[in-house]
Order: sequence, then C-alpha cells, then structure tokens
Amino acid sequence: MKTVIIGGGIGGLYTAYYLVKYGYEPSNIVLVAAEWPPYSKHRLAEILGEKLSIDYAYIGIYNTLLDKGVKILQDVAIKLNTSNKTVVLRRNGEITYDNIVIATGGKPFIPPLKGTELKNVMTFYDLEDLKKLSRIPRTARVAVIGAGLVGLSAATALNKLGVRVTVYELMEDILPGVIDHPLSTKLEKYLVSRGIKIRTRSRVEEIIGGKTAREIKASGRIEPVDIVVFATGVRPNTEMVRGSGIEMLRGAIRIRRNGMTSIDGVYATGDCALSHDLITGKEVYRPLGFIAAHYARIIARNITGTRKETRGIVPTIYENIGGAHIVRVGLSLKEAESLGLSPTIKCEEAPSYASCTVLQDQAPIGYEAIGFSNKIRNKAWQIYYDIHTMFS
Amino acid sequence: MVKHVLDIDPEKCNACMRCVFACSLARSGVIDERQAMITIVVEKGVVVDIAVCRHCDPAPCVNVCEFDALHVENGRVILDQSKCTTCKACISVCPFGAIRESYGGELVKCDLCGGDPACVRVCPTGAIRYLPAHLVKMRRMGGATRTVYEYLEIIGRG
Repeated sequence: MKTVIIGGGIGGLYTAYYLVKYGYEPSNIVLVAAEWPPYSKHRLAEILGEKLSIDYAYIGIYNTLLDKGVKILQDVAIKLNTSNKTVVLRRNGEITYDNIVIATGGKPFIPPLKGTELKNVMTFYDLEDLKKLSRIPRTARVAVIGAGLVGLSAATALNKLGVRVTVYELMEDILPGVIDHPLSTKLEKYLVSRGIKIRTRSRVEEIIGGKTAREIKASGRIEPVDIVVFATGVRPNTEMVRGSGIEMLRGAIRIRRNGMTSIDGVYATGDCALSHDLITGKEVYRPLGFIAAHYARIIARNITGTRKETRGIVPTIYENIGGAHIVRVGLSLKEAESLGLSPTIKCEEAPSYASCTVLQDQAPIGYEAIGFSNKIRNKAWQIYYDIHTMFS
Repeated sequence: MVKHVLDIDPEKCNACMRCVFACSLARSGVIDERQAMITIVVEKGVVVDIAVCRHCDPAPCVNVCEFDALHVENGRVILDQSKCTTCKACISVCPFGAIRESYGGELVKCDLCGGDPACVRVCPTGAIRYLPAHLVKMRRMGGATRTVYEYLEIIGRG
C-alpha cells in the first residue's frame, strides 16, 4: 500500500509523522512538497520583530521523517485522476497511489483592487515575504491591510523595528471574528498607545503609483506609503483537484469526519479543506495549523486501519500582539451568530485584564480574554472543558 | 518513585528573582528572563503568583496539542521542541500561565530539571518546594468553582 501526501505544510508533514507513528511502513509514504524544509508560519512575525535568523522557522520533525525513510519529492501536483488512482506532478510526471492525502494548503487572498500588482505591494504569508519585510528601511511607511491575527502580528513586529505602521480594517473592530467589541476596543487603544495607527471601518479602494506604490486610498482618504502588506485572509489552494469530481463547498474540499473526501481513498486536511465545528456540528473554513494536524492524525489512524472520526474542533487560540496577550477558546459572539446561534456575551474587567464569556442558553460556548500583565491569567481551560463536557 | 511536583506559595516569595535566573541558567547557560520557564508575577508591588508548570496529569496542554509535542513522562509534562509548530493552543488552555514564548517563537516550559529543580535549590524562603504530588494542594484558580485537578479528573478519562 502506497500513500501519497500532497503538500509539505503542517497537514502533509503531520500526516506523514502520524502514519509512521502508527506503524505505517515509511518507505511506502511519498511526501510531495513545493517548499522544503518545512517551516511554521506562526514564527514569521516573531522572527521579523526580533531580527532573528529564518532557521528559527523550520519545524524539527522533518529530519525524523527523512531518517525513517519517508520519500520526499520536491515538486508540485498538477492534476488528480481518481478513476485510475494517479496524480500528475510537474517534474516527476505521473505517479500512482493507494491512498492520497490532499494537504495543498491555502494561498493569501488579495482583494481585486487597482494597484495591487505594483512593486512594494506584498503579503505576509511565507519565508519570501519575511525576507522582503526584514530588508525594509526603518524610515519606511507601511500600510497593513487587514487587522486579523496575521495583520496585527506583522504590524506589531514592524512597530518594534521602528517602522511607521498604519493598519486598515474594513470592519468596525480589529481582530474581527477572533475577539468581540469590548475586547477589540481595549486592544486597539493599547496598540495606538504603542504608536500604531489604526483605521477601522476603512475600505481600501486603490493603491496608487507608477511602478511602485506611493499612496493608498482608503474610504476616500489618500495617504503616502512605501510598502503595502495585504493580510486579508487565506483561500483554499485546490487547483490540483479541479475536475476530479471531489465534492467542494465555497472553494474548499469537503471532508467527512474521518478526513476522507467524497471519493474513497482520497483524504484532505488543512487550509485546502473544511473542518467540523464541535459546538454546532457545522462545516466551517478555519485555516489554522492545529486543525490541519488534528485531521492529519485522524487520517493517519484511518489509513493504518483504526476507524476514527473527529467529534469536531473547539478553537483554542493564543497570540501575543505586541505585548497584549489574546486568548480565545470556543466561539466568539460574531462567529456563533454566523453559525446560526443566538448567543449572549458577559464581560468582566480588571485593571490589567478583561474577559468575556459567550453563552448560548446560559451555557458557555466561548471565552475570550485580553491581558497586559506578564502572566496570562484566564478561565479558558475551564470553558474548554465545559464545552467538551456539554457537547461531546 | 513517587511523583514529585513544585509546591508554590506566593506569600513566601520576596521576588528576589533567584529562581528565574537559576532556571534560565540551567536551561540555556545564560541569565535571561525570557529563557526562564518560571515567572514571578508582581502586581502593584505584591507577588501574586509564581507562574510555573504544575505538571497536571491529565494536563490540558497535553490534551489540546495536536502535534504530539507534549506528553507525560514519569509524571512530568515534557515539551518536545522538534514537534512544536508554535500554534500556542497549549498557552491558551494552561491554567497556570506556565508555557511561555521565548525567542523565535520557541515555547518553553518547566521540565523539573530531570528531578532536581534549580529554582528549588536557590529559593531562600521556601516559596518553591519540590514535594510528593499528593502533598501539594491545588489552589482554586481565578475564582473557579472547582480546582484544576477536579476539572481534569472529570474530563481527563478516556
């Protein structure tokens, strides 16, 4: 039995790791990776802000996989043919499989605006982006588009380097979807006090310049700029499955609770696929590394002969945004609403700390917190367990 | 061998920082707060906590890690750096604020120095002691209705 894994990101890497762990013969695993060695995107902002070597980004287990005899092909998959169980690779041509795991990840989304093709317009997504951003002069004026976790991590890292940063966010609050209004406003105040300009409810309309971006137009206002960084989200990278007959939803691969797609022997995990929310049972698109690894483990179990299904995901997020500790477990108010629930929110506040619990019919379904002391003090673990007790 | 863990009494701590420095030195050979796996939490001039791993078993961080990077070994919660991707889910659910981000996104947590904790050796006031686990009482954290262990026992099976 031969298992081909497409993608050397978190999903692909950890599928290989768990297959080996669960006793699958390593030499029967082929891992097709466009980039090698594998690295963690969670470390890019930290490396940027601390001016560290990119060696910090690499994930250690790739050596273990190589030592065990997993075959690595540095290549890109172009086309999947499920009827004769083959996949076409750009350099290595057609190869066969018994099981295939699609872990092709995501690609950064840039909204279709005038001027996004200009020089000095970029994303903050991979090692190349990191290298580019580490070279910018301290005098540069940077516009970060999107105040999500990626955008704010980039903004605070650049701010640490002394670069002038303005963050543009379409929604009324920063970290939309991660934390809710009462906490967003606290974070915003804190970041502004650190010298980061924040423009919420600001629709970026155009990047203006000749070859190079010089100005940015947002909600009618034009400001000078040297670098524009788009952090406007991720979309599934699924070109290789086009025409394969695999069921998709809103551009992402649908998977069952055992990680298998609509076609037997074809699995998918990570930013190219949907996942299951534990609380609502719904299919959701959450491009988060630990979800990729969650399904990687489930898939490896099923391929090695143990039937296993996920009960679903409870998001567990922590991020240090320039010294502010952000914690989120379960659903935020906004996410719960978008999943069809009618939640309420209850917040409490201390001088260096604030938190909110999201409730549905009096039961906690989410918790979010922001803290400014040197200890992350929160009740997230309790809510995490409460949710698991209630919904499992 | 009886499982031993750290017993923490912030009321006895005078914030001398010896444990922090000894921890960093034991781990990395230099004195650097950011590389220490123990934090003295001071608010308004008062020591309110010593944040360090209590080696819960079952442990929320181990439960939540999807990368197989945390496991319990001889009663100690051990973090395997080579498997960690810095997703930080463990930080979000740690009741004790005991997992910290060091340089380059590397996560650090106490490993009890293999059974002879450096912090305990240098603590002059007895605020940190190394005791058999059954003698260590878990305080109720953050106004919780149950102690951490009570919670973990409810959920941790299976």
